[in-house]
Amino acid sequence: MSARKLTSLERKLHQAALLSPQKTIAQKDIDALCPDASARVGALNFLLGTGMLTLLRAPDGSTLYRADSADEVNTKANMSGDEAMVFGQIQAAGNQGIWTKHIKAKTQLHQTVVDRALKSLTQKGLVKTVPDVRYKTRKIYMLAALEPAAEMSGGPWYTDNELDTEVVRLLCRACLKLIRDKTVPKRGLDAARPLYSIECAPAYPSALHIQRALGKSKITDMELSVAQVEMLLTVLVLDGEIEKFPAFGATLWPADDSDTDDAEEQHVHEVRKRRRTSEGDGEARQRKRRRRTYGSSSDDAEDSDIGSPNRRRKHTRLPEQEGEDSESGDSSPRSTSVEEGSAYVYRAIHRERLAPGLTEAPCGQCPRFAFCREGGPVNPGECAYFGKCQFSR
Amino acid sequence: MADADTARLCVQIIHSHFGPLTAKVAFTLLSRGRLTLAQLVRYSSLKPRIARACILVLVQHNVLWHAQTEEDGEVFEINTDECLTRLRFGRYVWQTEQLFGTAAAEIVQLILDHGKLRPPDIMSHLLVGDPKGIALYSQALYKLVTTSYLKPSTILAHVSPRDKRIRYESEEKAKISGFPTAKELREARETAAARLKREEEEAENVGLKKKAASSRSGKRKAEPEEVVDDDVYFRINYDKYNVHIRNKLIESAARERFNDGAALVIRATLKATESKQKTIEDIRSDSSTAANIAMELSDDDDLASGLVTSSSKKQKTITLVKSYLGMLAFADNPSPAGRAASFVSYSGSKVYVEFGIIATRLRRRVLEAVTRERHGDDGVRVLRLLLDTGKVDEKQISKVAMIAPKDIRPLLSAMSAESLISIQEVPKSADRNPTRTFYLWYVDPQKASSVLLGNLYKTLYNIEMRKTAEDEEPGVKAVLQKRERSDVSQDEGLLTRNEREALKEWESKIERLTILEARVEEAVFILRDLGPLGNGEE
Repeated sequence: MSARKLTSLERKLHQAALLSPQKTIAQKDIDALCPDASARVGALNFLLGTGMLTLLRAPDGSTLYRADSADEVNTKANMSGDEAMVFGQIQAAGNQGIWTKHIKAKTQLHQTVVDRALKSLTQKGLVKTVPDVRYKTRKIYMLAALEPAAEMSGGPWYTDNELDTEVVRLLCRACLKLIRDKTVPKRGLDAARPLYSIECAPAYPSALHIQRALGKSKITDMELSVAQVEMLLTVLVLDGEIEKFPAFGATLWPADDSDTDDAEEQHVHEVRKRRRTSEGDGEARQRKRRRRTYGSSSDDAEDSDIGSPNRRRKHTRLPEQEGEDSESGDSSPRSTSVEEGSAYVYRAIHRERLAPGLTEAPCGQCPRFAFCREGGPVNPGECAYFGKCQFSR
Repeated sequence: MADADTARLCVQIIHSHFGPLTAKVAFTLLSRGRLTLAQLVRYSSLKPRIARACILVLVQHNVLWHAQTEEDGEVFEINTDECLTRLRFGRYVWQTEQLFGTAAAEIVQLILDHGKLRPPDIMSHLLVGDPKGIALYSQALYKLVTTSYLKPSTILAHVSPRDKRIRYESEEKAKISGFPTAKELREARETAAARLKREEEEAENVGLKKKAASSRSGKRKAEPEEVVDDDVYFRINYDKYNVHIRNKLIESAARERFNDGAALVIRATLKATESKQKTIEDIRSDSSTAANIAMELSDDDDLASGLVTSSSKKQKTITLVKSYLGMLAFADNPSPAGRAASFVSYSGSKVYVEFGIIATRLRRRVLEAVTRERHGDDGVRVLRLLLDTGKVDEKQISKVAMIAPKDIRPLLSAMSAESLISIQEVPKSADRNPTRTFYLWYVDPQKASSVLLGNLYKTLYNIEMRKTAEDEEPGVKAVLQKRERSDVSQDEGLLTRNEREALKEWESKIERLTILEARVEEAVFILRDLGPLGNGEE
């Protein structure tokens, strides 16, 4: 440490540098603080000499000084040159940590020197090793005071650096239930398995809605971001439980024509039926033209206002309520603000698992399938499982 | 030449349908490829007379092709596809009964029993006990022929098409100047196949019907103007029947994915264009309209219960049909995923059933089901991810599918051992050092389905073997033999209670195995018969 205490001028310069957000001070600020040239040079020389200021070069070529606090100066003063270099690298890596190989490459020191430096730094309690879920085999160092970044610990999905499949499954199930509640009709559980038709579909939830609902539902105390909820939803899509589609999708479907005469009976003469349906075709054609323009306009603006139809749809009443005219919504003005994670919406679908025969024959699961042959020790004639096979349908 | 599993299955089928001698001939031909009669006699160590009789039987049943070669003269070859189709015969008869009634079903069954028959032969067989039914049967026959459920058997159908295909292909290839590109080669193959098909169709046109206007002109006009040609041998047109199997599969897929109402609508859609669906190779159906579809629906079909609509009042059928069509077309999901999941395309007023897309999707589902069976839900997750995104690296799979890396590694290698997924190496440096190589996983649908098909054939063979084993069981065998006795077959009461119970148990076992076989056969249908469809999209 220095032989004497700081003078008031020196302290003033050091404090000014520490107060700035970058802990740096420019040459011209120092000039302003201390107009007297000889005193300024003396003070700067002393501060640079003790390591309390470091000389830097700004991108524009002017001179900058960075201040280090007294503690840091203290710790650094006790280190050897090698240790200081290694410590500098670890410090620069921040909460991302740095791999020993990278330290070696950057400092260009020998492996044993780096090892020795790291060992002594660890003993002093200045640095620590942290595990990284991405690179399990790497030894990564970080300042002792820092918490590892979320990428390193793997975010909410990891406990003790292992993917917590139980948590993932639980949260997936919770998401699925939320989506089912919103997108499958209440009577959906009975034999007819009714579905919402396109023109009177409910407000399909987006990732944002699900994130909010999850937050409210107290299923977990984790704070999940929209991106993390989207990860869960991707898993559900891969499992074939839900379907992801653009929020503007429903607007591409022409709303139903309600102008044909309802009093007309269902079972009319064939000729009348023909006439009526040909009218319907004419309307369909008209609607198609309308639809085209709608579709193209929304394609152009795909990224800017994707979220808006969804928000509009939120306000339309659910189909259980009566007297809904689904066309009225189309004319409502589109809002322009976009929220993250609302470009796509989700709905629950029936899982398709029409069991083909292979899965019902015992051969599908048989571990000896390749070995099985007529006349062999394992053969279909004596197979114990064939007798037991039961059919679901 | 067929692979081992297919060959064994074919031999087993021929064994159970025609007996051990023909099976021996088939086995020899399948294991050694095409042979001349002399070689066949030598390798099968049958007497020449017996071998010749076996060949006659197999030719009569369309199972054997013959071909003229320059070196050997006339050679024989097994038509494996035809042989495997024999498993569907029961279904074809049932289908005929559903469509045209018992008379037609009897005709179809008779033709299937005999391979191919001329109309007078059919009549003489069917009219043994009942000479009055001639009008009924000839009408049914006429209907079957005009709707092309029966087709004439031609010389071309008995000659192996391979030689011709090779010749046509080399002719096409000779036209290409310079080094042929992959695309040109494919086009040459397609042209050759199209030419072959055209020739076949022409040959079938010739014998299909015969105008008999001159002889019948004296009669009233109610009589059809063309009659079935008595000199033509007729056989079953499998393509036409396969259309029904496919449509049934599509219907149940729609039921699974949506609900009964959607299944009704898609059935009506398929029915509206059924007469024009001649083969399962079409990539999409002819167009129909919502009105046509509504007309195909019967009045007691309950569409409304499957749909939640905005108004509580009763909706018209056509409105409901349109809603369902919108759902089936995934009209609210204009993304590639929605397109790949769609059943129909519904643009304007025209409705097309997208057979190509549906076939791709059905194949995908078979793949998923097998994966689920062997590797659980995690395996399906990985498979779907790879199918959706293409080639993916192991770390990325683990991240997106949210499966721990230590679990994903064994899973991937187990799946690739069964050819469900494949690996692609991308070396970073020219020396192909494994440590400096990306390993990307992907699904090769062609490879996966061919391996799967092999497994399915083996499963079918196992089921067949099991059936035989059940018959051979000592207790059952004795009872079965006893039942064959003339006095017992007339009066089942002569069997003891124990025997009757044994018989009942045996019957239920065989029934189960038959059902199982039909279901495995369904998966084979999806992979093999619908296989060529929609491959371009993958």
